Formats: sequence, C-alpha cells, structure tokens
Amino acid sequence: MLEVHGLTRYYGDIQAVHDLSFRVGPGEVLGLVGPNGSGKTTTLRSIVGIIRPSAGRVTVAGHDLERAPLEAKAALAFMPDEPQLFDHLSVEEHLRLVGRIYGVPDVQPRIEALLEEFDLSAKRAVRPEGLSRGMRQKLTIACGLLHDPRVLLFDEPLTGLDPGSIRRMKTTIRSRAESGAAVILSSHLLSLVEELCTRVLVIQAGRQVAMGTIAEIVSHRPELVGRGLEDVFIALTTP
Amino acid sequence: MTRRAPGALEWLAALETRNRLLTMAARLRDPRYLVALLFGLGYFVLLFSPQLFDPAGARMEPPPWALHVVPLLLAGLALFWWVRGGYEKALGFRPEEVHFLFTAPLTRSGLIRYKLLRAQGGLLISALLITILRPAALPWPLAFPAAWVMVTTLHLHQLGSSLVRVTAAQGGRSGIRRAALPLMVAAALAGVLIWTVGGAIRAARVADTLPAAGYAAMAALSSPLAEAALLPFVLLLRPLLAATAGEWALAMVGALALMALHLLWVLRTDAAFEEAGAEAGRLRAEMLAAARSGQGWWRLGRNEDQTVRRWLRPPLRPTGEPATALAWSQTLAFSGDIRPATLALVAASVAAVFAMLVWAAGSVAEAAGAAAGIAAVLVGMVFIFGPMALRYDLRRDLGRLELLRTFPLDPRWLVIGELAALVILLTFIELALLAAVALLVALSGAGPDVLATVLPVELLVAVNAPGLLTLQVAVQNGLALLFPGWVRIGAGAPPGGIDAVGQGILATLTALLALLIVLILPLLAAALVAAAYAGPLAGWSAIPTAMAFTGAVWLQAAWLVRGLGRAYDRLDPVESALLH
Repeated sequence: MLEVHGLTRYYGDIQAVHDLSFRVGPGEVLGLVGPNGSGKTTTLRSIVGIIRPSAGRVTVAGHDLERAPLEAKAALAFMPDEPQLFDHLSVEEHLRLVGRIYGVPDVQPRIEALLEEFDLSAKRAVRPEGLSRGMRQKLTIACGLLHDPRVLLFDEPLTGLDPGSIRRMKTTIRSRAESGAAVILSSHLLSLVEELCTRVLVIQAGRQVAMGTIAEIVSHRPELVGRGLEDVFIALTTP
Repeated sequence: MTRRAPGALEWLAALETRNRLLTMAARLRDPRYLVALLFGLGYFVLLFSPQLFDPAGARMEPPPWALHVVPLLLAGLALFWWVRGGYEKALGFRPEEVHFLFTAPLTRSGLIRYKLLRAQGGLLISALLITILRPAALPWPLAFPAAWVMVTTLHLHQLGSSLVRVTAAQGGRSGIRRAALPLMVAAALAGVLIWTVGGAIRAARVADTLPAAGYAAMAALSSPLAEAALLPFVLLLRPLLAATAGEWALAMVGALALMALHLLWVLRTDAAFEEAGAEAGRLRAEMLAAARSGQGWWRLGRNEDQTVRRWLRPPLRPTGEPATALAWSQTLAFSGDIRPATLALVAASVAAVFAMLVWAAGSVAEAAGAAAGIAAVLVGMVFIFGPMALRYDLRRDLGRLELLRTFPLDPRWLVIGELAALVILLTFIELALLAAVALLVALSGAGPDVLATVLPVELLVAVNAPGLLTLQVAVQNGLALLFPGWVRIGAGAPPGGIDAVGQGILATLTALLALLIVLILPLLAAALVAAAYAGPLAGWSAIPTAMAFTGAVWLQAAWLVRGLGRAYDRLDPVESALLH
C-alpha cells in the first residue's frame, strides 16, 4: 500500500533522513518513533509530497509520488501535529472544501457522519478562532478522513484532546486500519504506539535504528526482554 | 474511490473572500471600527481630492523622460527579483494551504492559477491607486485596465522568476539545464541595463549643467540596444501614457500580448515549487506569530550579521533592581532589530544629503548652516514622532500581559522598567542631534552672537530632553493602556485596511492632544516664574524659569508614570482584547 525506498533528504550539508526504506501494508499500523529532531516530520512531509526527497522513491497505492503525484495523493491523508486551518472557513466549509478537492461523491452524508463522529455537529458554522485546540485537531483529522484514504499518516494525533476524544480517536485509527487502510502513526506517546501499532520503526538522526514488532526488536537485544516500549526506545536511542 | 471535481480552488478563493468581507462588514457594527473607517476614508478622499474632484486639471502631462526612466526602474525591479528572488510574496503559500492543497491531488499549474487568483485583491488595489494617481488625462475606464495589465504582468514576472530560480536551485544539473534559457535572457538584460546605466552616468558626468546632464543621460538611454532591452517595460507603460483612446487601444494590444506570454510562461514552468512555497509560507507565518508575540517580525528569515548587535548588547548583572531587567530586555529588542545595513544606509543618506547641500550651496560653510537647520528640525521631529515610531516599551510587551502579570513587581516599577530603555535611547539620539547642530553652526562660520543664542537654547533642550521624552513616551503608553484597541500592540507590522489607517490617524491626533495637555503645567510654571522676575530682575529670570519648567516636567512625568502603573494594574487582558 505504501512503499518507501531509500528515502534521503539533505538540508544543506545536514542529512535529515538517510536511506530510509519500509513498507506499510493494508490493515497495518506502523508506529514511527524517534527523539526530537530525528527526522520523523521530514519523513512524513516527504511521503505526502510537501518536501521533495534528495533521493529515494515513495509509492502510494501503486502510484509513484514523483511520476504520478495526483493518483498517489488521491489515496493519501496527512494529519499534522499542529492543526492548519483556514481562518475564514467554518468547520463545515473546511469539510466541503476537502470534498470538492477530492471529488468525494455523496459528500453531505459523509460530512454529517464525520461531524457526528468527532462531536463537531454543534460547531459546524464556527470558524477556527472559535474552536479549542482539541476541536481544531479533530477537524483536521475529520478533513483527512473525508475522502476515505487508503494511506493515513498521523503526526501526534492526540495532542490537545480530552480523554473521551482520545478514546474515540484510538477507535477511529483502529477501525480505519481494520477496514484496510495503511496507517503511519508518529508519536512520542509510546503507550499509544504500543497499544495501536502492529509494527514500530525507530529512527535516530534520520537513520533507521530498528523496525518490526516489539517482540522482533527485543529479540535482537536480549537484555530488553520483558521490558516495555519506553525502555526499548531509550535503550535504542541513547548513545 | 473518489472523483475530482473541477473548480475547487476557485471555490475556495471565492469563499474565503466572501467570508472575509462579511467579517469586515460585521466588525463595522462596533462604533470604534466604523469611526475609524470613516476617518480612513476621509483621509484618502482628502489625499486624492485633486485627482478625484478635478480629474483633468490636476494631471500634468507626463514628462518626456517618463518613457525612459520608468521602464528603467521597472527593469531594475525585475532584475532584483531575478537576483534576490521573490519567494515570500510570489510563491508563499500559507501553512493551511500547504496542508490542504500540497497534499491533495492538484496539479502545479492549478496551484499557480489559484495563487494568481488570490493575488488579485492586492493587484486590483494597486491598479486603482495607479488609476487615481495617473499622470495623463486618460479617462479612468481606460486607465484602470491599463494599470491592471501592468501590475498583473509584473506580478507574473515575479512569479515566473521565482519558479525559474526554484527549478535551477532544486533540480540539480537537469534543473539548471531547464532554467538555462530564461536565466540567460535575464543575464543578457542585466548586462545591457548595467552597460546602459553606466553610459548614462558617464554622459551625465561630463555635462556642465544639471539640465545638460539630464539630456545626456536620456540620450544614452535612447541607444538602440537600451531601447530593445527596455521594450517590454515600455510596452507595459505605454497604455497608461496614451493621449487618445486610439493610441490606448493600440498600446493595449502590445501590453496584453506581453501579459499573455507571461501567463503562458508561468503556467508551463513545471517547477517543483512546493518546498519553496511551504518555506516561504512558514516564514510568513512565523513573522505573523512573532508580530503577535511582540518580537520584531522583520528580523525573521534573515541571515543577520551579529557584529553590530554585539556592541549594542549590554550585559545584565545577576542581581539588582528587577525593573532594570525589563529595560535591559527592551534594549536587547532594539539591538536585535538594528542591522549593519541599516546603519550604513543612514550614514550614506546623511553623507549624500550633505554632499547635495554643498553642491547646491557652493560652499561647505553655507551647507553647514543649512544642515544645522535640518538637524534642528530633526530634534523636534524626534521628540514628537520618535516615541510614536519606536516602540521599545510597554506597548511592545502588552501582548505578553499574562507573563508580565506573573512577575513579582510593583506596577509602577514595572512601568518605569518598560519605559526607561526608550527614553534613554531617544535622549541619546536627541543629544547627538543637538551636538551636530552645535558643530554645524560652528562650521557655518556664524558669529559669536549666533553661538551665544544657540548654545543656551541647546543646553535648555538637552537638560529637558529626558523629562520631555518621558512625558511623550508615557502619553503613548497611557493611550495603549487606556485604549488598547486603538493602539498597535506588540512589534508587528501595522494592520492593513482603510479602518486601520483611520485608527492610526485618530491615535496620532489623540497623542498630540494629550501631549499638549501635559505641557500646560510646565509652561504655566515657567510663565509664573518668569513673571515673578519682571522688572529689574528680568535679566536673571532665565535660569529659574528653566528650572521651574524642568521641575514641572518631571513632576508631571512622575505623576503620569504613577497613573500608568495603576492603569496597568487594572487592565483586564481579556476585556481589553489584548488576549484572544
């Protein structure tokens, strides 16, 4: 579903991402973890086409992002850590915009369902300045889900959400994966990664440090057997 | 699977514009904005009244050099875009556009069309201003489209040059190959222009008189090669300078053809601009965020030379009066905003003005006399406008009111700390200007009687400068505390719009009125003392009168600062709309 091969990105002389390769299949949730500045956001932004990789290839649903960007992007959704919304568009207008850009058929019923799912029905006519941080986060995610993407990229999806919304968000991510979507979840909340992800990719200084299920990763480090992801993460990323 | 519908970006642009206008209209229900809008409109009507109410009479015939000099300036602007790039304005996408549009299945030419559509608001306003100020007596229905075609083509050129630069910078060897043709054309144009301007300067230098120098320069600009290089810019300008409708129609054909060529060029340049656009948008968003948080927005995104800032950065002792830490932070803000290029520009401007005065007056002494007059005027201007323009005080920090409130500081001392840096800075400028006046008067060869008059006045001004500036700065900050909605808070760029212009005018008038009011007491005290020394003691009145004035100034300043402390203490950040 999503294939990343040899992804490399330089900023001047600094190598932000180095030769990263991985694959996320349908129904899989890949946890992308790493310390601050390890290249997670650069990786996600390269996969969605905001940043152009210095080298490497990204394939989404069989479409090469460089050669067939429209087809690749039509199958993608990116939910950034900081909600980016249009100041002058209401909640519902944001969803209608996405519906129009992606040409979503039967858009109104889908909008109603998402407003309901994310508790935004009462705020449908409100603009971002009238929304709390958590509501803006939920709107960003609702916009990402509207066109029923086959590849979903979440960057810290739980930031600013209340406990009820956190539970619903977890259910949403899980149900999307169960319905066949490939999901990448980037987060510092290792408990969330442990709970939702089928595999974990640990990167540090732009390089892959480990990848696989937690059991697979631990199998290469016998001293970590029986420990949680937090201990594994610290052991892998502490020089 | 989804089916992409056309027109999504056009719909977005229209919806945003409609919602923005509705927001502005709704804001007018608040009398504060309505009054400001009326003031702003009144200001523009007054400013452009000759052009608006006497369309034909107020316009001069365009001078003969216009078709040489204006295209040369436009060409210089275009070259600047090629050399420095115009990412921020031309390619900058807002973070929300990057998120929603760059990750969506939209073509690059679609995004460029959207960018052009969104630029229309600014371009139409520019065209309207050019139409109002047009030099020729061309009717406005003809002038407006001509102005629009000119500004749109220039915008397309800026966009195109940015795209070519992106292609060359990001595409490696193949990118440079793809960008080779436009880069070579731009380089050739630059070569011709530099050669032409050099020729014009050489021709002007050998001329005896100013008019002769002008004619010689024009002749150099009229060479066939220069005319060929400037032809595109002449084509853009010609419709605006047309004398008849027939001439206009003919000129418009050329201008429209040029615009169409630019549009084709921009839409066909398949540059991978996403990253440059996102980066420009990020910088822009950072500038706005910095403006809201009170940092200098103009400092972001620039490679700054730290040399000047280092000697302007005073150290802060770890212990001492807490208020000095606030003054120190304002000093750092000022030193952070000062750049070597700014200082060099100021020095070069001063030298250029003096050189022109020497050239015009014929002697250094006479030029020094004139320069002394200019410096004296500057002393007054710095006093009146300095505290309005420089905002290294409480106005800058009010956007961070929540943080200020957490400081364990007496409000009065907090206000003193916040105002001190600006008062000291402006006093320093005033003293430097006063010293310059004294030096220039001495250089002018003025007699001892002139010096005997000038020096005591200078001394009086110098002694009172800190007190008067404290009054002025306190008045400015008082207005910010009492009417936060009217005064620009933080260090950000001034807000746009006609109502913002009106607000600015009202705030300036109120500040001047408040200053006059606070000067009443010092002037009254000085007058009373002077009156008491009437008669045989009149010759001794100067010193006590000055002392009475100074004492009253400081008394007023202390009273104002105390009042400011109380106003600051009572200020509700939410009700005053300082925090959103």
